[in-house]
Amino acid sequence: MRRSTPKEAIPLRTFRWLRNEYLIYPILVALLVAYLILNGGFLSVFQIQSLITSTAPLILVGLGEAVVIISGGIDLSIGYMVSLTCVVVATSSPVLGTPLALAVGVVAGAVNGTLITRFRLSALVTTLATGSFFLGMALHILPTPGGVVPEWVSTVADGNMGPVPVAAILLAAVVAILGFILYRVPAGRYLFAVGDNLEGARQSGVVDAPIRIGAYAVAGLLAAVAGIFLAGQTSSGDPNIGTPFTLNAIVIAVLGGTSLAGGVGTVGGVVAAAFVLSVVSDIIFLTNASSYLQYIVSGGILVVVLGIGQGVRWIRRPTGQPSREKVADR
Amino acid sequence: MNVFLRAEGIQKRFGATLALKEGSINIATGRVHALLGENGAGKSTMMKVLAGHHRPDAGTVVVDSRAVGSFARWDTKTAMRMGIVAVYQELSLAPHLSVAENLFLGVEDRYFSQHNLIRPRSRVSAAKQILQSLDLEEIPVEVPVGDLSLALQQMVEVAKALARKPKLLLLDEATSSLPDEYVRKLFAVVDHLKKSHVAVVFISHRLDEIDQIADEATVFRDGINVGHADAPFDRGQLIKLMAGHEVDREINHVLAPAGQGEPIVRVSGLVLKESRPAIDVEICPGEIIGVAGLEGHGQQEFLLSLFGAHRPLAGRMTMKGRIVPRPTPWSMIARGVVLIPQSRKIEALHLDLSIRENIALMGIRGLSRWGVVNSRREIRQVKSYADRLAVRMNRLDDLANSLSGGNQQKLVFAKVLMTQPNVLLMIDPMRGVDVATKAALFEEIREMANAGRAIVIYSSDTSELVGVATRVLVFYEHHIVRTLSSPNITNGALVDAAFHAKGGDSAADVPLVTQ
Ligand SMILES: Nc1ncnc2c1ncn2[C@@H]1O[C@H](COP(=O)(O)OP(=O)(O)OP(=O)(O)O)[C@@H](O)[C@H]1O
Ligand SMILES: [Mg+2]
Repeated sequence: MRRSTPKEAIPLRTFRWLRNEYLIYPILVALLVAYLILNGGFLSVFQIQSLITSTAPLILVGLGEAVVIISGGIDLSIGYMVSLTCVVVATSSPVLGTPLALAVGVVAGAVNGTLITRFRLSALVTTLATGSFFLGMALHILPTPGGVVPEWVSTVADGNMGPVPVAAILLAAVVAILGFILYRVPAGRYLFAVGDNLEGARQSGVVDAPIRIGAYAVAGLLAAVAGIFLAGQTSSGDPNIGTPFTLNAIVIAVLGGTSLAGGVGTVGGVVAAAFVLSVVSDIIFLTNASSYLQYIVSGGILVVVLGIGQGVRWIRRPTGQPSREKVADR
Repeated sequence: MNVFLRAEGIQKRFGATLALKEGSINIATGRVHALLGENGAGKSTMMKVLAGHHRPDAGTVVVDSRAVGSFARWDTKTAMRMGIVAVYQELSLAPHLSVAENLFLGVEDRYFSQHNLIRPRSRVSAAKQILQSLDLEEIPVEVPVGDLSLALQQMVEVAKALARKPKLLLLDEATSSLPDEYVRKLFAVVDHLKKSHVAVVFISHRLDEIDQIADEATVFRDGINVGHADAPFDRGQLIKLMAGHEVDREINHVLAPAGQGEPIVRVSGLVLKESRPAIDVEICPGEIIGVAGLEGHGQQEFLLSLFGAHRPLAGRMTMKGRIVPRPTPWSMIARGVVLIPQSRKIEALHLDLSIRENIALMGIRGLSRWGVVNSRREIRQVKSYADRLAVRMNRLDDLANSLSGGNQQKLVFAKVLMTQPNVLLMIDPMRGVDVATKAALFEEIREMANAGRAIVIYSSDTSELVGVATRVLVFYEHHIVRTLSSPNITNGALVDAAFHAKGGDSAADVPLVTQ
């Protein structure tokens, strides 16, 4: 009986374009225009290619995190799963490394999901703990950056097929598959239903455990793909490479319109949000500003986007009532 | 007659929906004013405007002969300062806080705080005092509100409103989840308020209650005040006003054929509580079984056990002769057994998902081919069910959150009906549904029974079972003490059976279990 906090019906539909999920597109366009201008009015093919390849890992972890958040959970271990899988690729045999890393990601995610759903542990604490465990494993396997990454992994992560980065093709495939699962398969419906109202979903015949464990496993899988990408891009394994990704993943998911309360989110919004973050860092690089500014700006964008979304609610909100934020307590 | 509040030409728009076009009402002190109308007529919206929960787009409000000039500062605090307090249709208590904490939330200073510090011990005693004055001593004041039954939570809402010392109390379907005995207690409170010159606005779809308690009634249709009447009411006229046209069937008393053939479900040795006699029931195709008795005597657990959502202490269930090993909601749904749970908000609806996703949720697998949802078929089916149940909405993609209470309830109905169940279990299925729709839904239920499906209904409003049920199981202390069958199911017999469950001797009664 925990979900009986009052929920106020806000006619978001009329203001849909102002929800973060839609707001993010004009912001992305504006930033791209700014980038273009700062760059002297044109972008080289190389710049576009490198924008895509450098954004790829962000998109992957953002999508993974979004799936978990939609299911009503949160994953604070995602960055360390990136580190762990990155290290696994760089220290295993060239043939086995990649499949092994993918398997490690899926298992790590499934462990998170199982602990949380079967043993009813708090997602926040569980993933904080497992994250520490994954980081420890990564450092144990490879204390300092190094190792060997197979050639073909670097080609996939960094190479191009004609003008098109291989990463773009891979990302398109990931987005298509994930979109298909979320919107066209019953399990996708169940994911949203479980995240919005777990008890309601159960009473509607949804078996929630596989859905929720699956969400964490998908996050683990996507983190592994990101880890392999990073290994390919840097041609080495690095146990600390994933650390900033946890926060980035959450920022991207939320920026892309995923509700921390669960049940709400889109694939397109998350992809756009990932691009917003990396365009911001490119712009900062272009203007020769301190690279620390990147953190300040991306934090600022998050507050602005959430603020505008919330401002709309504030205006439309019935007077004298608490805003509709539910507490993400799973 | 002393007018406490006059509202005129109130308008309120939500996006594309004009919820109130021309809302007006005159509320007099010391009188109970019923606000009637079909689902989505704008009753709740009107009430929320009066309570300061919504700011109207246009209109005037005069309270205590002082006009509320501009609505820019119109909020719940202002309204409360003027003595206007509301109990909303959807419960709005803080589930993790205790009863006592909830009762005085925000008004601690009026009761027991000193120098802005709360004294918990005096809060407990103040809470006990209030509950006692309402004849609700059975409610423990120190447990979290979320642990109470829905009926008790509703009573706590009422007590919370009274702790604010209202001059105008707005009750939005406060009785929709209340069993008879609590309705009686609530009415005693309302009577008392009347005597102390408090004005009460009472919204309900149960016309019997309106007859019993209201002095006058205002009818809304499509956001417009379409009429007013004084007690005693002409029910036909009220219904006609609400619907806007003649309605021939209120609830027509044609019975479905009693069960026949092999039972679909057979329950044996079901024990719901330590050292209570076991329950043995057979549910046959074509039967509409009513479940009655005092609140909290095991009726809900009985239905939930059939659905696999409650684990009884002992018992065995067979379906069509085959044992059901470990019933769970999903395995029961797969077997064609579905449930309309008691609390639509907590157990059934997904308010942040669309109307379409809500209705399709249970039947989505059936709408898929090769594991992929056939969207066109889904939309067609969802639409046909929404139309059949007259869900009042703009678009299928709107959030469930934007619907009125009664229309949200219809979503739950549509969801379970879409699975074409063999056995339909319902707990208070008509909560907040308007008179005309209720009749249509009962018609639907009867047709299902005629088509050989089985139906089990528990309703906190026992009169709903009359004329619908072919058999009624009366519960007492978590077991069945009596079974009434078709011609003997009357309101009187039901109430009698519930209250005097132990020593009944009416000839019509068939004792099922002897102690
Ligand atoms: N927050 C909201 N956002 C969008 N539409 C709304 C909102 N609140 C109410 N509506 C719409 O306004 C209309 C009136 O709703 P209201 O809740 O006042 O009906 P009601 O008379 O209380 O019905 P019921 O008997 O079902 O409770 C409905 O069509 C409803 O869909
Ligand atoms: Mg209402």
